[in-house]
Amino acid sequence: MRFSLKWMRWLFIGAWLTAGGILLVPSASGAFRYLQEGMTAPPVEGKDLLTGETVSSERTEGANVIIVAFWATWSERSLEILEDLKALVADHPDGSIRIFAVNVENQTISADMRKLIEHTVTELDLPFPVLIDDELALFFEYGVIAVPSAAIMDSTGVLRFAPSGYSYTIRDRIVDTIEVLLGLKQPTEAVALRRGYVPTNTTSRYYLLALQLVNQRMYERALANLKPALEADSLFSGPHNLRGQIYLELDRLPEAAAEFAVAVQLDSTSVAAWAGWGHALLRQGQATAARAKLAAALALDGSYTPALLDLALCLAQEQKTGEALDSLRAARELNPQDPAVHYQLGQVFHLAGQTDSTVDAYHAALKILFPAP
Amino acid sequence: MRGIGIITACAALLFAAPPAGGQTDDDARLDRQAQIQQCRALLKQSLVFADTGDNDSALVLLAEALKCDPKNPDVFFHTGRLRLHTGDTTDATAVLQEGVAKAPLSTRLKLLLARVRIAAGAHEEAAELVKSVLAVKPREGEAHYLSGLIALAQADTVQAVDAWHRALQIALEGQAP
Repeated sequence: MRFSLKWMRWLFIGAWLTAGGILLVPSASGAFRYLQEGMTAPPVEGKDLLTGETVSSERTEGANVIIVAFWATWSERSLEILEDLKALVADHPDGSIRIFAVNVENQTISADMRKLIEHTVTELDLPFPVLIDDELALFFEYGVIAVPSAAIMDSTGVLRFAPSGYSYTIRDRIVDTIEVLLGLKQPTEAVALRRGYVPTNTTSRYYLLALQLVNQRMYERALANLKPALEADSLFSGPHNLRGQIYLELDRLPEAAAEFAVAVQLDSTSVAAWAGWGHALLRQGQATAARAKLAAALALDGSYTPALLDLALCLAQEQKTGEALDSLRAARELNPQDPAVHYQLGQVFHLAGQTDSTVDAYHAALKILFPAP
Repeated sequence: MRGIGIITACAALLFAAPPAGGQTDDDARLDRQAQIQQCRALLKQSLVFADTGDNDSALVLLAEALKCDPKNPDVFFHTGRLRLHTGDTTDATAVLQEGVAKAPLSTRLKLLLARVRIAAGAHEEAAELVKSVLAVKPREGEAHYLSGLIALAQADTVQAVDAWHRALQIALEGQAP
């Protein structure tokens, strides 16, 4: 019964997303911009908020499933996923499931925020550690798209399912994946598909190093590390996707589009690659071509915020203001603390000549970017 | 107990410093360096108090820090910020104005003072502060944000939207891909 209202809301969102040509239920997932199923996820390490004990996702002996959940107190669905993970641990008290809840409240955590997080965690009485993501280092390293997001890994730390957001459908698929990983259930076709491409160890190493360099804005060095990553394993789409992201950042748009195209060719279920391709085309003024790629991304994962934002821009350019606003409201619903969402909303309102709404949307973005000290 | 904590913190930090009153230029320079270090230590400790919500103790240490380095913009900034948190807007304004007068190159002092003046309806003064920041740092996103707030308060919506659009472009350009 806890989910009844949420479920209705998802039905409502689903109805208009489907009406807009977007499938709500994803056939793949894109919680993380830089990670995909089959890859080894970066380790999570830090002090448990309440006990002060140092915990690490690399020290999980005996666990068959490792879950990293990114959450924040401002996200209602975050609290739901935490409650459900708590119930999951209660169902499997043998230590076969290890969970790390990573709080991504804000880039800087004030004393008041910390108190609120502590209060929430105490109230929830979670049987697993909660870490605060200082400076959002893990958030950026994983490339989290929406809050909440979860990384479901097997005992070797390989990512097996990465849902963005939280709904009934996602909850069921998390449970399915966990049961398969625990050996309680035979893999269905849907779960088996999510195993993804497993790159070689050398490639993974270079790729993760490049990822860290990108997060430090050392783009040339990151590109240098992606070269040996691809030499060691030319079939892995991840390095092409990351190259595309770097080229976008460097404003080398045709090269970005070409890299994303290769990434899609290698892995047609890569949501980030489809969305990146669409973004690169959109920035080159090719709105129609961009829209097709963005639609492909959203068909794989209807809650992929960057694609929702770009699709809105395409629609706004075609004077389809209502549909553009619908897309943006869906993105805002998924990630209300993302200033880019509010900014884009403001831009569409501005194009539509709705000044008061423009002001409100811009102000919402700026209050997030420049909070009172 | 809290008073004892502050006294202990102050005493430890003050007695850790070498005696003042150097006779030569070198000695004077060393004294000055020691005072600056002492100021930084007091500031750091005050922020620890502030992080735990103990603003009163933090403000005591900040006052001591200001004695060591009377022009330190960070001390003025945090004093002003904490005074605002404790609801003492008048004192906050006075501290920040003094800080801006003594450390006129500090952008964040000016921007905090501008926020306080906007909230008080002193838009002309706020606009001057923002203008002086933008003259030196034209890509300071927060300054454009405050510029938009001032325009909005003066019912100039077009100017507000323009300033906020610029602020957002600058701020979001700087984010990771």
